[in-house]
Formats: sequence, C-alpha cells, structure tokens
Amino acid sequence: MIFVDYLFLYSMTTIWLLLGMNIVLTYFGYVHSVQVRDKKLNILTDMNGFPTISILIPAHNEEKVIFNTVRSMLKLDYPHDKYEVIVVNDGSKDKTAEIVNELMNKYPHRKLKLINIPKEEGGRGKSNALNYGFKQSTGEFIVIYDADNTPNRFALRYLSHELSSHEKYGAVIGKFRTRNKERNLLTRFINIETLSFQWMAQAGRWKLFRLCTIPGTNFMVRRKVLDEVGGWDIHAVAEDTELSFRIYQMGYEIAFMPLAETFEQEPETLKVWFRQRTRWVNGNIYVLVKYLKKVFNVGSGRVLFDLYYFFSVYFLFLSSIIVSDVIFILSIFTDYRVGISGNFVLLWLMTYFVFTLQISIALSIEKGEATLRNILLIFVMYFSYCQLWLFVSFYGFYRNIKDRFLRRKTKWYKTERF
Amino acid sequence: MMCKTRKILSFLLFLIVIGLALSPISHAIDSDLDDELTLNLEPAGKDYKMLLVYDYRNYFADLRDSVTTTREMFGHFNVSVDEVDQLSYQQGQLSQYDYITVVGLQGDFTNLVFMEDLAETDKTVIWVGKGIENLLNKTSRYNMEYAGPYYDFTSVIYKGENYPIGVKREFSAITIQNDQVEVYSWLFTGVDNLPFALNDQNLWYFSRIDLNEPLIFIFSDVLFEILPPHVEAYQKVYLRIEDVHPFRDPEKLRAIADYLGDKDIPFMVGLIPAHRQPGSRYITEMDEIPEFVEAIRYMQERGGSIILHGYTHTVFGADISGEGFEYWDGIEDQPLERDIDEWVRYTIGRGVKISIENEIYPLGFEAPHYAMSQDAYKSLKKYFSTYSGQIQSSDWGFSTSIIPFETRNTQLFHKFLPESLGYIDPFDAASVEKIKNNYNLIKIVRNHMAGVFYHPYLDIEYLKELVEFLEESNAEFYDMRDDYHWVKFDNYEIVNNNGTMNVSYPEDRSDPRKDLRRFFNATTLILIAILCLVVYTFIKFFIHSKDVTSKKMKG
Repeated sequence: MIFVDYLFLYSMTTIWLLLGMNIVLTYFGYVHSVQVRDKKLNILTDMNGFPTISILIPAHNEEKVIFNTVRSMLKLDYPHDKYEVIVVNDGSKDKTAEIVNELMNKYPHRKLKLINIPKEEGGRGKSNALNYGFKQSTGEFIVIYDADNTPNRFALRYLSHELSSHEKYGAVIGKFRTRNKERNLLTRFINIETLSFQWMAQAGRWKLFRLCTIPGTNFMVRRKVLDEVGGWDIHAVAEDTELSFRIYQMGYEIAFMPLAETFEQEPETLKVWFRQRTRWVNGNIYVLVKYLKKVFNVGSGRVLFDLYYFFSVYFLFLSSIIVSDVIFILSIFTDYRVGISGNFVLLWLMTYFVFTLQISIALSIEKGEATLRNILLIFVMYFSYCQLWLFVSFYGFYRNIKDRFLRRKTKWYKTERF
Repeated sequence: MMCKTRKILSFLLFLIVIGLALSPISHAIDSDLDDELTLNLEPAGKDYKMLLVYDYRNYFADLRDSVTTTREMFGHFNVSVDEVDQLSYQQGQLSQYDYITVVGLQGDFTNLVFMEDLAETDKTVIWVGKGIENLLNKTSRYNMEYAGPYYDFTSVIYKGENYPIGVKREFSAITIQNDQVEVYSWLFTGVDNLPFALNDQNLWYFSRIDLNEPLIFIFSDVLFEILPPHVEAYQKVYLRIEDVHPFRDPEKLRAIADYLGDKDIPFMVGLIPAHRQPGSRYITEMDEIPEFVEAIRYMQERGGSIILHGYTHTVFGADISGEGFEYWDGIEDQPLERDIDEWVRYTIGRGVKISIENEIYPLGFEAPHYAMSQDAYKSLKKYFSTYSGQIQSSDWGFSTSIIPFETRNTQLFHKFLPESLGYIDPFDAASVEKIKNNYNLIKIVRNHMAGVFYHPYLDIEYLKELVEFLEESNAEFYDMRDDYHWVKFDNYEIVNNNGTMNVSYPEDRSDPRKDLRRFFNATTLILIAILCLVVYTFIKFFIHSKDVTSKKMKG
C-alpha cells in the first residue's frame, strides 16, 4: 500500500459517503412526494383560518421585472385584507420605485407598500433590506419573494396551511421552478438541477430529519421566530442558509411544501450563472465555518447532519475530487499509480446509472419533466454541467478567503435579470 | 410506506452486515496441519572428501568460474569438496582427502610441494585440463607422455558415438605408451585420435576443462567410473511452465494443467507471485487476483509443483514482470549494491508468505534469469532446499553454467535440479529442434536430469510438440512431489517428503495492509450489490411515478 492508495481510499470513501447520503435522500424525497400526493389536500376547502401575511420583496434595480412580480402577488388567491405586499427598495437607480408607485395608484384598495431605504442605511445587501422591511411589516407570517418571482395562485394558501398546521414549524418553504427553462441548454440544465435539488436535498432531508434549507425565495416564516432569532445576519452572503441554521438551532422545524410553487428566472448565460453560484458557495462556506466553530453546541443531531452534509459537499467532496483528479494526472505523467484493485469500471457505471436514475425520479414527480429529452440531458449533464461545479467551488472558496482577508462588507449581489 | 421503508433499510443493513462478515473469512482459514514436523536442515552428509586444487578459476574472457562449476558438479557424488589455490596448498594436505582433483586452466602449477605430494599419492587423482606435464615430470609411474597443446580437434568420440565439438580450442594432448592406460573418450581431428578421457592406475585425466556440451557431458559421465554417486540412479526430465505471474491468463494456465494432468505428466510452475506494473512502483501480489490464485491451485492439483521464480522478476534491468532481474544488477552487470541478505529475505519472505497464505506451496526456487550473486545463493540456502535452473558460477558478470544431473549438499545448494535443454522461443524456428538436440546430447550422461521450460502465453501447440517429443523419447518425468524438499521462512514451513507435504505457518498472520486491501475489495463488491438494489428500487419508483404523473395529466 502506498501513499497514493491511501489518498485514493480517502477519495473513494468520502465520495461514497456523499453518494450514499444522496441515495437515501432521493428515496425519502420520493416518499415525501408520494405522501403529499396521496394526502389529496384541497386547498380551497381545507383552510382552517387565514393568518395575516406580509410578503417582502427586496428590490435593487428591478425595473425589468418588478411590475409583473408585484402584479402576480396581488393576484394571489388569499383574502385581500389578510396579506400585504411590501417592496423594499434599496437604493434602486432605475425606475423600480416609480413602477411600484404606479401600481399603488392602480390598486389603491390593496395593501401594497413601498419602503425606500434611506441612502445612509441602504446598500448593505438583501439581509439588510429584509430586516428593514420586516420592521415595518405587520403580518403574523412573513413571506419572502425575490423580485423576479411569479408564484402560483395558491402559493400563500399552501404555505400558510402548512405553517399553521404545526406549532413546531418555524418556517415553510415552497418549491421554485424555472420560468425560462426552454431558453437554452444552460437553463434546461438549471431546471433539471433545481428540481432534483428540491426533491432530493430538500424533500429528502425534510422527510428524514425534518429540516430544509431556506432557498431565499418562496418561503414563509413566523414573525415570532424572526423576532426570536433577531432577523437576518447582515454579514451573511447566503442569508437564507444562515437563517435556516438559526431556526433549527432554536428547535423549530423547516417544512417543505412542494405544492407552493413559484416560477423564477434563472441565469441565461454562463457568466451570470457562474457569478451567482460562486456567491452561493462563498455564502455557504461562511455559514459552514460560522457553525463549525460551535459544532459541539449546535444542539440537535439533525443540525449536525446538516452541517456534515454541507461540510462533505464543500470540503470532503471537493477535496476528494481534486485528489482523484491529481492521482489521475499523476498516473499519466509519473509512475505513481493506484494499485488497489476492484471492479471500478462496473462500480463507476453503476454510479453513473444511479446518478441518472436519482435525477430522473426527481423529474418524474413533476408533470411533463421526465421527457426523453430531459433524461438524455441528465446523461450529458454528468460530464458537462456537473463538472462546472468544480470551478464554481474553487472560485467560491477563493472568494470566501478573499472576503475574510479583506474583511469586505456585504453588499448587493444581484443576479442579472433577463 | 414507512413500513416498506424500514423493510428495505433493514435489508440493506443485512446486506452490509453479511458482506462485512464474509470478507475476513477468506483469510481466516487456519492451518490444522501438523505443527510437530521436524525440519531436517542437514540431510545425510557425504562419506568421502575431495580436495580440489586449481591454478586459475576461469579462461580468459569467460565469465563462468570453471572451478565453481566443477566443484558443484561433484555434488552428484558422495564427496564433499574443499577447494584450494595451488599456491596455498600445504605439504601433506592431500592426505586428509579421499580424492584429489586438479583443475588446470593455464597449467601454471608452480607449487612444487603439491606436485611432489601428488606424484607420491595412491589416492585417486582426477586431473582436468592443463599442466599434466608438471606431474609427469615428477614421476614415471604413468604410461603416458605430454604432447603439448593441440588445437585441431573437431569432434569427440565417446562410447562409439562421434560428437562435433564446435569451435576449435586448446587441449593438452597426451600420447599413451601401452595398454595399461584405458581411454574412455577420444578426440578426433578427422585424421588423428588423441585421448580426451583416460585412466592409468590412480590417475584419471581429462585433456581440457570444458563447460560446454558435449565435453562436459562426457566428463560427467566418466565421473561415474571414478566416484560413488550420492544421488540414486535415474534419467529424468522436467517440464517447467515459466514466468507465471498474476497477469497471465488463468484460462491458459488451466488449459496447460489439463493437458499435462490428463497425460499424468508432472510439471513445475515457475511462479512469480507478484507483478509490478510497468512504469509504476505498484506491486500487485497474486492474492489480489483470485482467478489467478485459483488457476495456480488448480495447476498444483493437476500435478504442478511450484517453483518460486523470484518475487516480481522486474528490478535491476527491465520493467516488465518476467523480464527484469532480481538478485543481480542487470544494468551494471554486477552484484547488487544493497544488503543482499536483507533483500533476499524480504523478497523471499513475501513470496513464501503470500504463496502459503493462498494455499500455494512452493517446493523450490529459481532466480530470475538464473542470475544470482554468490552471496545471494548463500542467503537463499537458508530458505530453500531446492533450486531449479542453471548456475551463475561467478560474480564477474552474468553467465550461466549447466550441470547435467541433480546435485546435493554443495556449497551453493542443498539440492539442485538442473535445466539444460532450453525453452521454446517462438521467434526461433529452430528452438524445438535445439531442445531435441540438447536432449539427445544429455543422454550421454548415464544418470542425467534434463529440464526444459515453456512460457504459458505461447500457443499450447508448442507445448504439445515438446511433450510428444519427450514421450516418443520415452523420457521419464521428474515429479518434485516424490522427492524431499523444504522451504523455511520464519514460522512458515513446507516440508515435502516422498508424496507427503507438511505445511505450517503462524496462525496469526494478519497483515494490516492486506486486510485493508481485502476489506476494500469486499466493500467494492458490497457497494455494487447495494447499488444493484438501489437501481432496482429506483427504476420501480421512476416507472411508478411516471405512470402517476402522466395519469394526472390526462385526468
């Protein structure tokens, strides 16, 4: 046994732990989908009350999308007097504010508010905007939508029905779908990715550990909980992940309600996509490091699991992929080679097959997604889209280290709209 | 649903547990074999003593040590040999011996004391090569005269057969004076005859020390007239399947075993227990390839006796298993510079351990390319009773010498099983022909042992041709299992005596490195099994889920 073999073993083990975890999550995600389906919830008749809701829409130069977003919020099927829509305009230099004002004039009887954050308090990012909007909101439940979202009509009903069904639920997240999936290959990949992420990671974790990660949009949280946790961490780039951790730590659960859907725009160019993803990686690493420091008093085992899940994605898995790539390159150019034998070809083929199946299952849960084209795309995805993740993680790491080093303050990182 | 979940999960767990439980079984089988075997490291000694006196050890530019080779040849007979340089000979020294052999390469016997002792002794004197005039000058008791160097011989006549000797070379010619002298072999120029081997009273004379066929065979055969044999009389041939390393095709090995097994022909297997991947430091030991180990065990069952053929057969010369050296520096053509004892111990230790642990029981050893420094032989002798192949008689450079019969209790070996016929070379159309010629030549020696080897990657037709030839020649095949051999390394012991083999090895021989590898192999298999289940379940989910969603769409 030589050094290379140990490295190889390390890579194999960590990669397989994560693969195994994902297999289990897929299984439970699927179980959850079946259960939701079998429950046959009739959202029109089964509501047992309409708690007051505040929808917060942080906006920073959103003139392209804000009109449609606000209008679709106003069209939601929920008693009009029971919800308010608050657009938090953080120093937009475009016509965002004007558009919202126009809408307020058009719908004078609706609870639509525009909050302009003063210059001296603004420009500090989404968390800050959300905290600002939260302070001025009145609803018992707070819902967040990004400025490009179009929720389905019953989204509020589903979210509030779910959240009010259990006192232990601190928050409920819905599902987001890709509005522009037909745009190009990249958006098709993103569509497949988001669906599988939600059915595997979110639904699976919910079923298994009763927790999910807040996705930043289309989620509902109790005012009480936000009060207790003190709002959003304004230093966090991934404020949603950070908030999720604090909510679990307080002992609340975060539920997954797949029937509450929202459609959002996904990046249409690689450059925008890359910027968005590296920001996520950077943000998630921030959260991970923040909570790893207090790993011994995070409380419950499920939080530990979530920490481990993140840790294995960003540290173990990444390092394993790098190690195995290095071994591969070494074996080409030097005489260091892995000598451990095993039926790796078969193992690899099966892994590839399982990967494809997992995602296919996630797609099959949605109407019209498990098409032959999409399934063929999954096969291609493994070698193309998935490999980009490596670069994203690398760059995300780099940005995280850079941010730490320069003690850079959080600001608006916004995904470009199309 | 939850119930089903639990069922599947518990089934997965069950699979894992079973897999983990099974994995150590393969190496936990203990030996119940007789632990009380006693190792006879010193088989019956020799009854007679011989003093071997020489002037030089080799011919100019010949890397073979003629003295060593001659000394080793006497191993067939019931004599133990001490060698001494003629200059170091002390007066009266020969009186302690039963036989005196003089090996003359230059004929420079300047030690007069030695010549005087020799002239007076009644003990049997075997004079091989140059310098006989020194003795004939001292005494007139012999009925012959030195006739000077003679180069023109083209053949040698022995027992009525005329054998060409190839390149012309120097013989110390003798003319005989009367019928008191019995000539056993004549040299022939095409016109003249002069003796090659003769006997006059206590003196046996050979007119040249020559390590090549046919002269060495004639010399060997005449020795039976002089010395009592130590090895029982037999004429045998052995077949060795050569360079069998873990990446050889197990099917071909089985086919060979079947072919020979069906014919009841015992054979040897030159096993290289580990394989080094070319261009890599990584060594694959045979137990990582179970099909190979099974094939070797099968060969063992079908009449194969295992000869450990080095450890990887790859270092100091070439990068491919079966090509490199192991106990000789093939690049600098010199003995290895490392600590040879340690190296021999390491490589042999690994080879013996992995063999025994896999129920493969080597009975002998064969150095890669037959290349070994003299120190390496000494070291090897501690671990193996038996050596198969040819002898590298000196450290001056890589060379090998053949001996036509089994030898025992020599300086180099406890037991030596010579190979002298060669091997099948598919690039040499005449190689089978050469083997046949060599075999016909070795028959000169009355109690001969002839070995031949065959590489298993060749077409089995070559082997069949060879075997058919040997069968037609009524050759008797040597079966190692019917003989006495031992292998001893630390607590690992194999003793084979006339059909019974006793093996003992330590019960606790867990090797963390191996365990890890085995564990890894087992885990891979378990993983694949689990994946099969996952794939099955997921396909079901997928089909079911697609059904439901498409119904929903229609509905």
